[in-house]
Amino acid sequence: MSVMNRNWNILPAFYPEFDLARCDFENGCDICVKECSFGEISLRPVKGKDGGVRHRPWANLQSCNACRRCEKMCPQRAIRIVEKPGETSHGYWNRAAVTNIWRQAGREGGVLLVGTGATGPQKRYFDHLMFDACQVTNPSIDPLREPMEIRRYLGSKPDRYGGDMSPLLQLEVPVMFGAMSFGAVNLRVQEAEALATRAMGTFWNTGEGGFHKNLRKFGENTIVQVASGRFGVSEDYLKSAAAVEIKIGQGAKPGIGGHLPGEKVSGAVSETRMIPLGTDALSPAPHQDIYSIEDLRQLIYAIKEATEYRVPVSVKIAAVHNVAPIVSGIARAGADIIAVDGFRGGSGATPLQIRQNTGIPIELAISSADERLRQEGIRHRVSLVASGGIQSSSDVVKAICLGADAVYVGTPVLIALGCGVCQRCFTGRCPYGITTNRPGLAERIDVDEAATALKNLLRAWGEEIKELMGSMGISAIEALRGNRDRLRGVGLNDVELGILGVKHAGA
Amino acid sequence: MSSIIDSKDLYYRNLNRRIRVAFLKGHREIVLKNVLGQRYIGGGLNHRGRIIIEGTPGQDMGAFMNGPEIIVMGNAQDGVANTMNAGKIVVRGKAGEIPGYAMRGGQVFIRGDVEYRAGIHMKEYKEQVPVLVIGGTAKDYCGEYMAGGRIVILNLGDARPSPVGDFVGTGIHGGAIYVRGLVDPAQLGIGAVFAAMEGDDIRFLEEILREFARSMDLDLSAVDPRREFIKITRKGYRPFGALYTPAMNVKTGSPRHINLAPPCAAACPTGIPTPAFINLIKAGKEREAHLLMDEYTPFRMSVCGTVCPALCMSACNRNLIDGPVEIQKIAREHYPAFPPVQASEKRKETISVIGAGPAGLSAAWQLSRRGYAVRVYDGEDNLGGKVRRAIPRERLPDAVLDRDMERIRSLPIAFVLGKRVDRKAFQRIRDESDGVVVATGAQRTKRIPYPGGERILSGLQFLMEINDGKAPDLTGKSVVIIGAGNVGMDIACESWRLGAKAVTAVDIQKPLAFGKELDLALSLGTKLLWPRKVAWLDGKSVYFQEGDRLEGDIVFFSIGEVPDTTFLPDSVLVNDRGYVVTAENSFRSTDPRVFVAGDVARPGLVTDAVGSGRLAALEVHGVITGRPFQFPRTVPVPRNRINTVYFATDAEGIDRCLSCGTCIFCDKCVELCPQGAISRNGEVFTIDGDRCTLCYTCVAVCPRGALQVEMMPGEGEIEEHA
Repeated sequence: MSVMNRNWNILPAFYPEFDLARCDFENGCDICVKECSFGEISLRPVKGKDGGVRHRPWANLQSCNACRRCEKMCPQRAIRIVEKPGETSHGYWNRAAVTNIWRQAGREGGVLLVGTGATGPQKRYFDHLMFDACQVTNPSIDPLREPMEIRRYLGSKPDRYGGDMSPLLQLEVPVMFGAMSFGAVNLRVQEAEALATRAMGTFWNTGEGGFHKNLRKFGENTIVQVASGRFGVSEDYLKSAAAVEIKIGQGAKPGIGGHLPGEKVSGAVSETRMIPLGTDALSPAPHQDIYSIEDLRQLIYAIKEATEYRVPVSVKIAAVHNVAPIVSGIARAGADIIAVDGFRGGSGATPLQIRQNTGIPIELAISSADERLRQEGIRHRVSLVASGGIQSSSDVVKAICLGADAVYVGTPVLIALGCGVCQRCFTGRCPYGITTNRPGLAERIDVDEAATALKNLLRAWGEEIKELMGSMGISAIEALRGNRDRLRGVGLNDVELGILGVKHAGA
Repeated sequence: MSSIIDSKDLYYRNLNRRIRVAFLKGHREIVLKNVLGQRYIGGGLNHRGRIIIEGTPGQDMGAFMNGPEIIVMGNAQDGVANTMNAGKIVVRGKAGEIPGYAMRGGQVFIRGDVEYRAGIHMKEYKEQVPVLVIGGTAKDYCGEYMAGGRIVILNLGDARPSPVGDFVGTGIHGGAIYVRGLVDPAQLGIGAVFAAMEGDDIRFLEEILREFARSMDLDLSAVDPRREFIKITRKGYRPFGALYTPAMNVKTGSPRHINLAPPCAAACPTGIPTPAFINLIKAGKEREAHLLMDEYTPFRMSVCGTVCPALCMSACNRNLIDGPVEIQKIAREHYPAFPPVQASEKRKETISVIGAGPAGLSAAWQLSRRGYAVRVYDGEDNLGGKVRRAIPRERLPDAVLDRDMERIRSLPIAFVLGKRVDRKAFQRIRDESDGVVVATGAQRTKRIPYPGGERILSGLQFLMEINDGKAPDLTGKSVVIIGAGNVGMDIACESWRLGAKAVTAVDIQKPLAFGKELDLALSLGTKLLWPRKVAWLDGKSVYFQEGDRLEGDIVFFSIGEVPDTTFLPDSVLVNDRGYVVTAENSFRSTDPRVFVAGDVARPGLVTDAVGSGRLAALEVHGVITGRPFQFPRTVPVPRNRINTVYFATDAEGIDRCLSCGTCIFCDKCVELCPQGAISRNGEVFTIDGDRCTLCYTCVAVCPRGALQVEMMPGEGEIEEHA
């Protein structure tokens, strides 16, 4: 018997509380227990009103992280997720600080792992940027009766009018679904993404886990990814999609490779990635064939050769300190599209310290990259895609004003399917059936309903974007790209305003 | 149809386009002359046919290639077969870095050496297994992050000391690397290990050597795939799996069906698993039930059913509901009607048991049942020791005891009775036997030399004389018993029966007497007086240090007995309190051939003696058969794990047993598992780990605590019941 074992006991920060006056356990209801995939709720026998045995729900106080699946599913609304006031008495050594140390000291292992994007207190610049609107001196546009243009073309544009066009992606709404691999999410989620993007005229991204044969029919709306692990990458894979994206990094974990935990490597994932069942899918940080811009150019053109120059090649990087010169180099290496992922970007499995402390905000990154490309006179050679923490249509428009051609969203896709952002994607036990392939859980996604939800989201954001444009008196989104004059900063200092290229409000 | 393309000064895009066009025109062999550094030759081609390269191709030759064959007459550069899916590449010279990066299928043969990171990230699925053969040597990080496929390093130039660099197979979690030549363990990367070459490996190497030799026009018949290769493969599936810790509470334990000891068995010094017995009876397996009991005790009627204070019943969890299961009554009502079964195979060893009391007979019973030749010695003419001689006949009639003795006697045990074993006889017995169990009990009454105390009688002697038919007449006498334990109570009862006018038991502490003995003695009018320390005696009274006195015509000592160990040889150590010395949790004395059981080593209840006799026999058996004896550690199922709510209060007899800690296949866990993850086939439960959410409902609802959770360190324990 360990003397110290209990020193490392960590009661979770949340727990379900049952209102037994509402709870229908007397009639045998056990929905909450069935729904909780993290084993937080169990059944306990009690004497029923008639003297017979009943089983009531019981909070184990062991594993809740507020996904709120039980709360939402309870037909009696008898459950509330309660946050335990578990702060320490110390103002500096708070709960997160001490529990992280207990977790590392109390058991073997050590690198703290989480899912989803960074949660830290860093400034959200989108919130400090305000749109201009037309008043008196210039007319606003009524999007209800005027034609509004939100179509985008991504890819390399010719140096001069009438020059040869490279292959382009045509987006009917400037929002694409970011890379989420088969394995990280399941096929139902990917199929819903594919259906929604086909219906709405935009694109989804396979991530680095391969392109399942059942979804290849959606190739025209699909961007396939090539990462260092090269999972699922083959000649027909490259030729099956509308674009190919080389993944150098991602915002949640710049400089860190992909890591699909073995818990999530099921039969179909193993087949698609061509790795043994149950092993960790390891995509190390560097591509071993890329150590320079010249090496990147070699891979870009290897892909272009293999696809006979028929599809644009995108390069995705995490937003890091010297993002502007890197983007310039990538443009010169022949990429058609460059995706820049800010530090708020999502992830299925990321070391906590990396997620919280590495990279830079997308607002600053996209603005400086756009500015650099303009200064160098090569802005037309590439399209910029911004991502990492986009929460709403106004964020999309602000990103475009700061220089993006379009955005990728990932976490909003998951949330649109019900995700409660409980940060446990890496466990493979997602209670909403999104980031899991476990039997009984993946079935919680209905492909048609999920596709409808994603279509609804894209349509709503599209309408909101038109409203925002109308108020600014702009009828084509092309006119907004890099149009920092439509933005004003509030509560930003000169350095920040300088990088964003935005005047302070009132100026 | 073959086509010749002169590649001199041809830009790679134009060259590759001409290759594609040639294939589309139906050419099946394309010869490229004067190649000088053009990249991506064969890149992304999925045609059938052959490209023969004369000159030096550029980087990423065969990248994403999916079908054709490329033969390079000279050297190749970096990235040969990058992410290749199918086809074949033969390089007659050397190649640069990362040949075969993330290869998914097909074959790459390189005649000479390669540079860093050969065959990294290679993959495989079912029959699609890529193969990279290197005729010369490879440098560092060969096979890094390999998930499948085969790398063969032939080392045809016999490079020394090793044909590979450092960090071979770092992070390897699938596939295999075969190296012809020496590899130092220090050259292996994280997660890589040497593995034994098996038949499949040899067959693979034989075949690949033949193909390589044919492709390169070599004679490799001198290379022996059986003896010259080292195989390197993965240590485990997850080379870095233990590196991570969830940053939030995520459960990792697993529920299992584990039968814990029921409290009755844990409380019983003999360890009798009453629920298992009752479950067999209920299942109609009367014979199996009795065979199970025979594993524990031959004293079902006399001890379990009659004289035992039934610690089992005190511990019974049915006390939480409506009083204990009447185990004592059940023991009497279910008595075997058949003799004990001896092991079919006789053992050649002879074991002698000194003493035919409860400990000795228990040991003899167990040993004889296991096939040993057993001899039992006792100074008395009958069997039973103190059970027969010191327990009043009213409490244990001879007829009851004889039912057990009858079964014991039906075993082929040789009894040598009526002659006390002395020192000389013991030595002879010891020398003739393969083991001796000394179970002579404690016979000598403990005495304290009070002034005037010479007239104090031995209480034990008194009880024995009564059972021998030599009862004294106590009519009108006042009796004082020093020591108010259960033996004291037996003395009190017998005194009343023999006519005493007053009986008082005194003790220096709260009397230890309990149960039936105490109840009976008190009902007859026995007085208990404590705390009292005797100071001195005269002919009529006992005087206490506390200042008072008590009239006592007859005074008995009943403060326990010490063993008579005078017959034991010097090799058997006796401690200063008179008991034979053993190691903790062992019954072996300081003489390796001599074991002890019962009061001769540790004083206790009759059931303690029976239990120690059994365990001593098991230890003897363990020593002789070479299987180490494990002292049983019974962890009773915690009381709070019993869900009393499930149990009806109108049950009768054996149906009242809750079967604590012992699965009776009630299937509550199967029915109530919220995920339907538990199934049962016969007596085997299967818990589907893909469905189990570790909610532990199964553990919580098990009526009898027969499911446990295996926890990882640092995890909380199961909450107690509400």
